[in-house]
Amino acid sequence: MTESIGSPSPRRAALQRAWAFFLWVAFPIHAWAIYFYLINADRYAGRSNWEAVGLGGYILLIALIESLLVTGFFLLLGLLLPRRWPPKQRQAARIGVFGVTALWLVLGQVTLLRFRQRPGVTAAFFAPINQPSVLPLLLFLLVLVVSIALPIWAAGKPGLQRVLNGLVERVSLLSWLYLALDVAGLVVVIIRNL
Amino acid sequence: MLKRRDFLKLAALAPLAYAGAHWLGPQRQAGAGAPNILIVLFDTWTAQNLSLYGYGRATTPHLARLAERAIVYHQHYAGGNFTTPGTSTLLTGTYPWTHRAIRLFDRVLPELAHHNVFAAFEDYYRVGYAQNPVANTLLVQFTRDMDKYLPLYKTLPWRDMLFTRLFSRDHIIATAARNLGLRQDSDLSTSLFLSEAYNRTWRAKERNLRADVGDEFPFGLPTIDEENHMTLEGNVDFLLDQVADLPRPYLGYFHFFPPHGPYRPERTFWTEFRGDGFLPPAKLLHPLRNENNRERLDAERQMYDGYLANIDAQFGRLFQELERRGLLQNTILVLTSDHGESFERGIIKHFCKGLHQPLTHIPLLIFPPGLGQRVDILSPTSAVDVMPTLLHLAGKPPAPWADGQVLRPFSGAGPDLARPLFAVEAKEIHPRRPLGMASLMVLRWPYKLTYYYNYAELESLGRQLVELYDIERDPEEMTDLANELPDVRDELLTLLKQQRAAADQPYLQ
Repeated sequence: MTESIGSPSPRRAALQRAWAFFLWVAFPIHAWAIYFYLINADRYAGRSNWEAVGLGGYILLIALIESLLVTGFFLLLGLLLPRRWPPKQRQAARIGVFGVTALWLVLGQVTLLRFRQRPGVTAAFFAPINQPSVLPLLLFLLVLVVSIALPIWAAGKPGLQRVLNGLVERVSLLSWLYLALDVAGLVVVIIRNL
Repeated sequence: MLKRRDFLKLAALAPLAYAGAHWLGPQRQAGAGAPNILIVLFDTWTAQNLSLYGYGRATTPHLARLAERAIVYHQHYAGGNFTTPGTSTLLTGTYPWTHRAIRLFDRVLPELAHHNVFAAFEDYYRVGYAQNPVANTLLVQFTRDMDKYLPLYKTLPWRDMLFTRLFSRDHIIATAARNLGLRQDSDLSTSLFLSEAYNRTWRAKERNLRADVGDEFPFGLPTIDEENHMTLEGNVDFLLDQVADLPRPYLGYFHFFPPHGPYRPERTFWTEFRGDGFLPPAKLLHPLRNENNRERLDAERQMYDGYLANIDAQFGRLFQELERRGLLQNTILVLTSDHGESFERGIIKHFCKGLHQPLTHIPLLIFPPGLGQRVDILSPTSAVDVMPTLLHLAGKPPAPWADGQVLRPFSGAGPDLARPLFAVEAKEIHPRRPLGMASLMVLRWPYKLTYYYNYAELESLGRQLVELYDIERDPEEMTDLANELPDVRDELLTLLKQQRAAADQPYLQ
């Protein structure tokens, strides 16, 4: 395949894809962190505003570190995909698998938030690992396979690829906002520890 | 003029000079014969549940034996009902409405930060340790007046202190963020991915811990927050190690978390009171209650009592070891608490609005060196009196800021029964605002009056409640005399309101 003039080098293109994926990962992680922090703000109402801001700073710092770690993990996981797949398909597969996983985890947290009792979706999802028995284990495996297989299958369809990549582009704008907040949070944490 | 070569020589000597100053330590002015002072505090240790003071379960057989060589204070009171006001009252010798550390994790007002027991003993070697994070917050504020501050995690062999260490200057908020972000309080957290991994790691660690200690701890290892475990035995060993090497004379403050909940007695002590048929006096539910289930109150009480017996055995070991190693020579040992714990009238534990006896009546024993007999002091005393007494025993002038006075028998005076003592619970109030909603207690022997006001729970009672008990005849506070003795009630209430008004004066808009 001939590289056209003006297109980025393969290394640069890989970095761009990694960055786009990072922005995609940062979105649900930050959105949930900020949402959950805000709905718990009353727990810290007795404290000063500066302490509440400090708490928010640490929460954003955790979200940033979590985003970096999860990005790294999924990029490594992407190495398991067939090498013959074009980069766009691999990226779409990563985007899809992460998206479904994040959706599961958000659903688990929302269910817990709604009913405030165990087992939530997350707990039920992971429970079979702790106490294996045939039926829950089969169910767990089914969910796992579908959660991985569905996005990987979708990544092979050019139309769905475009949808996934378009989604990432739109979400990236919001992620930039979150990253700006991260920087502010980091400054707050540094000031509080001077 | 200093030449470059001379400058380099001097610069080379700088580390030596620094090391020399470090190893030689500060020059102490206290006389060679000045006594060491060792304060040992068990958090949340109510006098009401100690058999030493007449409780129905044998929770303190070792302490009872050792008390034969101590001054035992029978009516000693905390400054508040939880760690912040209780500890700061002890360490500053002032009431909460003065030092204003009244909310959870508060410190004393910055302008009063130098008014503390460590500053008062400036010619002593001063060391402080607090295992309770709330008390540790106060100690951190006083570090400039200490020679050695021992970080909280020193007694936690299995610990999750990453945030505490990384953000040591802001560890309270950093730890709160860890709890909200990772620890899954109520199974929820701000983190979607890391919290699961984080909690799995810690649960695995806990399982390994359990495997290590066998089934000696049926409810898990003693802990300060469900993740940072310790053992009572380890606490004792830590104290022994620290005290052995301190320069003399020293002032040591060691604040241990047990028997604060969760109660985790060893199996032997848990089973000691199980099914023993012990029945505490049945009391009416209080309007400010936080637990309606009587069975839970009794079950928690039984666990707490088992924990008390466990602590008692370890204190017996501590005392024996201190004595065997000669560490009690010329040392005044003070044993006390910061506040109590409740299992009655629908009020469980201590994070509440009550100031009943289980919450404010705490133990105080002073072991002066060489005392060969037990001395019982029956007149009421307060945590504000401890610092003035220690200053007196060390031959120092009184601290002008302190609210307390020298305790009997050291004062040489007779019992002062007309002297009022106070306790304050105002955790909803900003420290620099008037005490607009609070529980205030005044004790003027034999009467104890508690004034609760402006709580929403008291709406049907006109938002206020006054209780009056004769503590001498009715130590369990069974009969409220507020309506039977209106003169006593009004006199004490007026006194309490006057004190509050004076304390609030600087904070009126």
